Amino acid sequence: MRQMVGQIIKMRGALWVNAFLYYFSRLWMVGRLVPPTAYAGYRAKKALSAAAVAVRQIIDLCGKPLYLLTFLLLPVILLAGSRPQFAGQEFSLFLSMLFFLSCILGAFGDSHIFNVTREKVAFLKYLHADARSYIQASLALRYVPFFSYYLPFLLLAAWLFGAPLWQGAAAWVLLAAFRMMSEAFHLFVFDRTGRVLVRSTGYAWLVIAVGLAGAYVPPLLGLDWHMGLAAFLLHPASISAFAAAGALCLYYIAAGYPGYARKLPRSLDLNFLLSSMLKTASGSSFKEVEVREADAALSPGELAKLQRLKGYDYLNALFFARHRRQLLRPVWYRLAAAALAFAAAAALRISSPELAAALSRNLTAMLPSFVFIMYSITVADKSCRAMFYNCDKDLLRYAWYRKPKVILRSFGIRLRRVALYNGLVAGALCLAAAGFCLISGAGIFTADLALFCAALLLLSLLFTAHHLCLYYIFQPYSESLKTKNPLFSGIHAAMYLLCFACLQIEVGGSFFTAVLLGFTVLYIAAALVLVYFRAPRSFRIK
Amino acid sequence: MELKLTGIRKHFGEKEVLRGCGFTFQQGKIYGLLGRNGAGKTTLFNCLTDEVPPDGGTAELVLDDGTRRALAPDDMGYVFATPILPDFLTGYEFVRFYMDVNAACIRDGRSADDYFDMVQIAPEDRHRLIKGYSHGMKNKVQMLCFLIARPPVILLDEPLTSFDVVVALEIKQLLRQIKHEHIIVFSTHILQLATDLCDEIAVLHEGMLSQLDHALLHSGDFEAQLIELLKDEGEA
Repeated sequence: MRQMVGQIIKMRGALWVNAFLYYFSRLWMVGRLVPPTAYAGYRAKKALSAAAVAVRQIIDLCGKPLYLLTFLLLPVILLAGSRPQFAGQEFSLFLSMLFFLSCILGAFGDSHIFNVTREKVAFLKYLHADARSYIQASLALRYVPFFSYYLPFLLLAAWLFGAPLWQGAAAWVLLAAFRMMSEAFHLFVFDRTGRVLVRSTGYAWLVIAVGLAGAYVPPLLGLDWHMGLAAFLLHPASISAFAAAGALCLYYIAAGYPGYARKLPRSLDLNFLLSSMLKTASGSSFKEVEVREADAALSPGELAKLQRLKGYDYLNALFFARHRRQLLRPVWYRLAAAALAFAAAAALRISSPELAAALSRNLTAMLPSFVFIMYSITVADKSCRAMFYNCDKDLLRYAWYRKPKVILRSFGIRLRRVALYNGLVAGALCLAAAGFCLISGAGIFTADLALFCAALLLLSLLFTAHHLCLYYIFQPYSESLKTKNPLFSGIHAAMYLLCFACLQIEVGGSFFTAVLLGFTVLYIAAALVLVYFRAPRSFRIK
Repeated sequence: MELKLTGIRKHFGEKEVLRGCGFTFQQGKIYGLLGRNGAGKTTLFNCLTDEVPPDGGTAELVLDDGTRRALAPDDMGYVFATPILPDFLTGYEFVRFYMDVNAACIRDGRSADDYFDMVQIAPEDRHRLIKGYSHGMKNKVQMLCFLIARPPVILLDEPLTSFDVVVALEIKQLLRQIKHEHIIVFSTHILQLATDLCDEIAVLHEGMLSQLDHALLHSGDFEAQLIELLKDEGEA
């Protein structure tokens, strides 16, 4: 096992350092400091690798008190301060919260044996390392520091709350025992059913719900269940039983389980890679935008309509027809949100008729806030990602697809279609506003409402053009769907801040709508010119 | 008609891949582009098709009347080594779309089905999403692009490796049939294919293009001589 531990440390170091050099070399300006020969500097890489291991350990060590402070100590102090009946029960409260958060949520919501990491894939799939040795070494590397770092801080917590130190040590035993029980439980379930429970969304949410609710709800409701739970957990018989169960489970996962070599490699599903960067590389982040075989089926009506189209109209119509699931799902969510907004407005009308009437007579006063809302709810960004991944990523490799006239034609078709999606959402908000005016007695044939609705529709069009224009001018995505253009990200951030700043503007009414109309027309005109002249050079695969 | 390359240069970082390639490809001939891994064959194709901008040099078409013009994207059909096609379309829909945008090039009133028949894609496969196509089927659809548009220059990057022997033979015959109207350049590592199909061999070595002596093409020690030529200075 010792040899395997050494190999894992070396592998982690090499993976980390190579990734660091690669991404550092791609940074603007400073990236030049990393020459292409840097990967061959093995002595420097060894030093960097050692530094990375040290930094990792420091982060892990600092993470423990940070976690205990944020999720346990502070809530305990706040609860004890606000509820006199909890005075003097701080450690019991702390222990019960620790039980639900670390022994239930933390332990059963995670499984180190079934985590999919680049390192594990390399060892088990590519290097065909002995799975049992790998798991033993990997568990040791994971849990020896994990438990070691927790012990002093749990003792410290006991001391801070005036409890005997052995109770802090008992909390540590519980933490360790439940981690082992969880690993053994997941391994047992996998062995018997072939399922990795932690990958089930329902199971994950159940563990989260039980953990969070158990930790915080009873004390928030003023219930003192924690006293009984802490007394049970700290009873010598309980501690002994948990410690024995933990030890048995440790034996099962480290030595007793015979099926690692045969079964564990089957559990390595790349869609569950831990790092989001690796998820992207493995393709799982494409799921929300990729087309499925089932999407191919089109209704006879749709087919008849398509047959009348030609060229780029035909291509884009097919794109939107085949991706309606991905493109319309966010629209449905937003329509549901609009319905909820109307329900909230109706509730306001019932609970506070005067305020509702005043609001309904001056909707345009809220328009600056709607700049931010409309920016936040636009579906154009998702549409652009789907366009890139499913269509442009492939066709942009062909020179004929990058011709200015072709680009402008596709841009126009897509602008109209995505504007329609965003327009549906804006229209639903307009309907909600009209309904609100109607039930509040302001009427629906008012200039105020008309201006409000016009502004909403213009905003939806403006943000559609904005996202689509940026997509065409910067084409920010790599083939792995990662945003690679810092200028694109910068402009998006600036637009976000601008929209956020609009929350502070106090100008509404016709002036606001007129300015918006002018700005939208100018923006779209500028977008068309820019797309025609700039996109043929920039709308390419990065 | 000729395709005349002059001084094509391209570097990536500190590595100079193309060091001023010059060559003249003639209509009616099939050229095999040979070179070692990493020699720059795909880079050369990418530079010609404007996929990546070259650092320097020109690519021109010299027409039969002697007039010259810069090579334009529409002048080329490019078959990628790894087929790149939009997954969300069926094969039939892609071909129909491609025929629409190249309507002026369609000859003899051919239909989409006629083109599919040319590369032997079964009727039931034509209406499946390209996403579910095999590598070979995708490659066939790529081939259809130049059969439809019939551009003057056809570049094929490792084109026949994914085809079964029957289709490979048919595609070879197809290339021989159409070569009189085109300049066809294809890169390959398969020497037998090069000697069997090509009229001339262009070798890309150390960033430069050179033409192999035509007489060598059918000589017995072609392979040995080519390997000797492609060896690095240190290996020779």
